[in-house]
Amino acid sequence: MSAPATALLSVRDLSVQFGGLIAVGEVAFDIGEGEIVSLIGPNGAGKTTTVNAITGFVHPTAGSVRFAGGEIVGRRPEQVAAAGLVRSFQNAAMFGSMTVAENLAAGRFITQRTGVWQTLFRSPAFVREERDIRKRVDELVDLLGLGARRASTARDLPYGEQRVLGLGIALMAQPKLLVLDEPAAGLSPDETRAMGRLIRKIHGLGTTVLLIEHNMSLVMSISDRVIVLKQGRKLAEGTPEVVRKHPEVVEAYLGAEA
Amino acid sequence: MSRPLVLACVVAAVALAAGGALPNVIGPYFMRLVIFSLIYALLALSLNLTLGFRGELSLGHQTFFGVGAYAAAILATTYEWPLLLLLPIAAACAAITAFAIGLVALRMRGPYFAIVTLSFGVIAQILAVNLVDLTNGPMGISGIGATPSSYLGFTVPWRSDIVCYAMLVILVFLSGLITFALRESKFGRAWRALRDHEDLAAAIGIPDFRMDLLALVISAAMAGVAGAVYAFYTSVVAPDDVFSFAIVIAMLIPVVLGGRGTIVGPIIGAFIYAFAPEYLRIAQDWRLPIFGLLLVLLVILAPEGLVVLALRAPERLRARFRQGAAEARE
Amino acid sequence: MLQDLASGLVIGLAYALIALGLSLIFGVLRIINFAHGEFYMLGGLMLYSLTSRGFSFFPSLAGAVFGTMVVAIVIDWCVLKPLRRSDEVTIALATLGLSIFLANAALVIWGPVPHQIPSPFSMDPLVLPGGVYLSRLELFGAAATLVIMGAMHLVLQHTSVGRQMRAVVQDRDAAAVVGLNVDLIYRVTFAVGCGLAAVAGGLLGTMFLVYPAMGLQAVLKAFAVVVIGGMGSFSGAVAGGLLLGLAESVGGAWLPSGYKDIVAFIMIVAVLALRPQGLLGARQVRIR
Repeated sequence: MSAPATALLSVRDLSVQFGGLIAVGEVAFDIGEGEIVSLIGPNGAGKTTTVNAITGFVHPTAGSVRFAGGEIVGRRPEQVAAAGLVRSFQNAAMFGSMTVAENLAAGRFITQRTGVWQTLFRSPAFVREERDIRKRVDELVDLLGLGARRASTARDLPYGEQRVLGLGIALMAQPKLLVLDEPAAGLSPDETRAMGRLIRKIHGLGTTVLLIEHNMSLVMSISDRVIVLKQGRKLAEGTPEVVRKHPEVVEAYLGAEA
Repeated sequence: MSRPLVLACVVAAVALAAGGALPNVIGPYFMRLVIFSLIYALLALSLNLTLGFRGELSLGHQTFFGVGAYAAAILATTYEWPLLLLLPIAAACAAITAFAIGLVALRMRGPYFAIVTLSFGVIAQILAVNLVDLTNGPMGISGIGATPSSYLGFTVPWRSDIVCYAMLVILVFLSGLITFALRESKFGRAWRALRDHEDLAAAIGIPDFRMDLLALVISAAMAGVAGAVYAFYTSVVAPDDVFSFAIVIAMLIPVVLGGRGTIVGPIIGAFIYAFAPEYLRIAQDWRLPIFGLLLVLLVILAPEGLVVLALRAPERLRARFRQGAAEARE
Repeated sequence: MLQDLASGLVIGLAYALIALGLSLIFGVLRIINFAHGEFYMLGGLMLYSLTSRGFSFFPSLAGAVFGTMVVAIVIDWCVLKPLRRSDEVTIALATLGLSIFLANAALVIWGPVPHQIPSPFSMDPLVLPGGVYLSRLELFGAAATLVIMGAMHLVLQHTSVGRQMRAVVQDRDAAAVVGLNVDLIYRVTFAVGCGLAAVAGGLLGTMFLVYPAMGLQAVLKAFAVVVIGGMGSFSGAVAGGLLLGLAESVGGAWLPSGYKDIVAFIMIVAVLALRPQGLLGARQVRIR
């Protein structure tokens, strides 16, 4: 299955150079609406840098990234998020001092329209908005399996649940494209399988997903397409079966889990 | 209305009602302490917004306090406007100053932001001393609020203890409400998110610059109002008083003592800051060094704030008691 | 005009020395020492105390610097060590508290009245080419500062201690893994940084006056220098110090009299608005 004609995300000639080091070299790929695409590669392949460049955390040295019809290179991360491209982070990234419910509510920020005066005077619009958010948080908390932890402080959660929370926060921002940076890192096999089910459920509700992952079983089981990076360049691209048998990919992963 | 909110309203109402009798009961000296406590409380709530919620250390809030004080002083002595009218004007002047300073200062984070805000404080002080035509130079402006206003046959002496006290109780209550309203909203969540994890906040679309500027401006408005009341109560504003670094200390200690990010904490901290020296019988000279030491000790030993610790102590003791009982049973 | 430049350079060198200490502490410990000005003050006040008891100038200066470094070591052990892994704001509050404590305790101990430290040199000024007058003390101060800066450069680049400091700057966890005693390096760096401030305090204190509040001015100037030159940059501190000294001296001639001190702060604001990382600083600073 090749990428559809009208891509949601279109990356062309993306390069990121740090001094003399080429972290990402002329990488190009598309992601179509409704796909789950995985970005894999050995350590140092440039996966996270690519994602940083796409989401505005790093300035690419060259190249173009078109998302939902507009060029997003050069935009700040919060502007990229506002366009509908939301990412999660590798380590358990969450807002430690707030409760799980507050964390999820925070994710809703971009979609909220009420201003300072409406907030101060608790206008009807404000009350309605907060009520909607609370409802949405309740739904999501059940979907994520964090129902019992709703009022717990985020930093007190076990690692696995923190990662799930991170996913939930990103989801609350109503992304058109959700970028997950190693969501299964540090998770037990059971937790990894649960994460896979969760990602498929999210995808089923209409979100396009780009996944960076090392965990091959997760990648192979849920991806529509896989893109392989090595030393900053695209090595291969295709369905999981095609990529799995690709000779250079196998060589690149010599010794790693297949 | 939630329980804490009801409690706050009751406390404020009682405080207001007691205002009439208070000066006779506790005497003018302690009345003055109470009034200063309330002014410090306003300042602490103001700093709490930037330091407590957002986690940015601003060492320049004395600038907003001073701007509010001078705005009130200049307009009161030139046009004899009453305090009531001057409060929103002082707030607006301070807010505009904060907006301008923020445009420059908020391009930096952390210690650089602290240094820039501190620099602006010094610049403001130097300007106040030198722009003699406007500010009357180092001598300052005096005689503020000398003329009482008349409303519907009542004369309101703006400088009297009771009037200042009543105004301050209402202002502290309102500031607490505003702080609470902001905290339980997208803004409060955005600030706390930025404090906890800036990158994640950006990744979900929270605009850090705009949110920081908002926190600074609102916080400055509160500080400006405190400045205006201070100007009327003491009837004199001078550059060395209102722009001095001592104001920063007067704001920091209550916030750190009471608990950054809480609402009641800074208010209680302000009262402790104003009253403690009286009860500790410390020589006037050693007061400031001890406050410095206190700040250091608080930060090392009780970073959440003493008040927060005290409020949580009962449930922590209960938990430990339960644990001990459970272990004893085994 | 040339006179202004010469005086500006002398002061600028002293600013650079204070800023060097601040920059060193930031580079290695990653903290902004808000109490830095108080170590500058301690150097000056201790020098005054020793000379007023009859000790001669140079041993007193050494004693003052040594005494200040002892205070710095105690402070690092008691305050900074427990906070090693704390966040920026917490540490900033701690050094701020220290600044308040030290400045006001000094006020109680030494009193608010400024004191004069007698210069060890004769008061006849030297006449340099161009008709510029410099006092022997100013010349000594400039020379001493240059020697110290040169020595610091040598220490950082060519000694084992210096290499260890630079290793910690690069990566503190890696340095610990490799077996470096990171805690000791922190303590030494903090002591040295404060010692540099104390030297500047002794020199400038003799040129002008010593009083407990002198620390606030000094630390603000030091901040200005590191902002202008770039935080954590050795050459930035030197360049920034000279630039500030010159700007104040030349600016002071142009501006109305009360405004001389404003130059430093205008420069801070200008640099942060236009080039936040400073002239020679690395782009570590997170810019929005």
